[in-house]
Amino acid sequence: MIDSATRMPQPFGVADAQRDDGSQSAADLILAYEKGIADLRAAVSGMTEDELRRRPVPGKWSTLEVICHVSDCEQFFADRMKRTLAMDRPLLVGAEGFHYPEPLQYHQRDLAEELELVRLTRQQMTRVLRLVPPEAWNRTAVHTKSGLVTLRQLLLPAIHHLAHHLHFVHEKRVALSPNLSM
Amino acid sequence: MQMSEYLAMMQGDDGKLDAVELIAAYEQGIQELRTTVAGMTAEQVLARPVPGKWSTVECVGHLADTEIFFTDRIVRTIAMDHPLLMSADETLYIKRLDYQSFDLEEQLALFTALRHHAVRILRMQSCEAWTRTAVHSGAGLLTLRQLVLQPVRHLRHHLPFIAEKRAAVEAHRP
Repeated sequence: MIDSATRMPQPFGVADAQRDDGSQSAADLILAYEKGIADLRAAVSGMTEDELRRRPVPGKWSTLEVICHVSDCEQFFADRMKRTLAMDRPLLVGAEGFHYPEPLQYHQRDLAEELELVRLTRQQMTRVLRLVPPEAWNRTAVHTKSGLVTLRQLLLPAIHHLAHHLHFVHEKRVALSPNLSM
Repeated sequence: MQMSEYLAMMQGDDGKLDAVELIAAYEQGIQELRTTVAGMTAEQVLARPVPGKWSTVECVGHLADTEIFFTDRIVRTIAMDHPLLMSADETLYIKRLDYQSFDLEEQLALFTALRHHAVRILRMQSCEAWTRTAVHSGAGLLTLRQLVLQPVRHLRHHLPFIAEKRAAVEAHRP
């Protein structure tokens, strides 16, 4: 049985999520978001079904658990951005994704299906974002954990969250195949 | 129709479908949607042939976007205890997200992927899980069953409108 409570990845807090030095334009952010599709696919390319389900780093999730976590989070990241674009200052409810692996049985999920869902979600959201007029990037929402946020501050977590977790996927791959670190 | 009536129509549970039937109906929606739009041209899906109503691509874009939060609600309710689920004013999405610029195949693919994803999750649920509840900001306490019934009915609510548009554009085909 997967014990979510003891296998949580390092916390990804609000500060991490919204880290922004302002140097990236909206176009840069959209490109980074879109690029995440390929980054995710590359990070797990060639891994076997057994490797995907192994937990080679003590106290941490398997690769498949990480990918499922990313995939599930992508849905509410996209939903939040759309609500903010469409509605006036919507309330966005935080989700406790760390509790998902056991009830949603992450090891029963299919990697290809998860990757495809992330691809399609990001592809469609990229299309939406590219049509957003400049002033819309200042539209706001109220997030139950981080308070008042702009559209920009809702896109940044999606970008940073994926990067955060790909680091851990790489760590697992190295643990499974130490020669990868060379 | 008042929002409360609409939500009751979408979420009311008469208990007729068991979990297996409910999941089957939900999964079948993929093919129902694809069949309804199969063969329509790019021009036809962009047309608004029925006065005052959306185009086909707007309708399918609406279905794909609502499916995102329908799926998220299902997942949250399974994974969290009594999560708060916020209602959304779907009518605002179409204009502000420029659905006329959407790609029909992309929307169909996203809708399909979301339903496949949720079907897999739902098939793994125990009998008890179907009575798990969430609090919907517009409708109050809802069960997982009701959260699956809603997308089933929502799609079936919109399919006749797409068929109506299709019939209208095909009637005017030279």
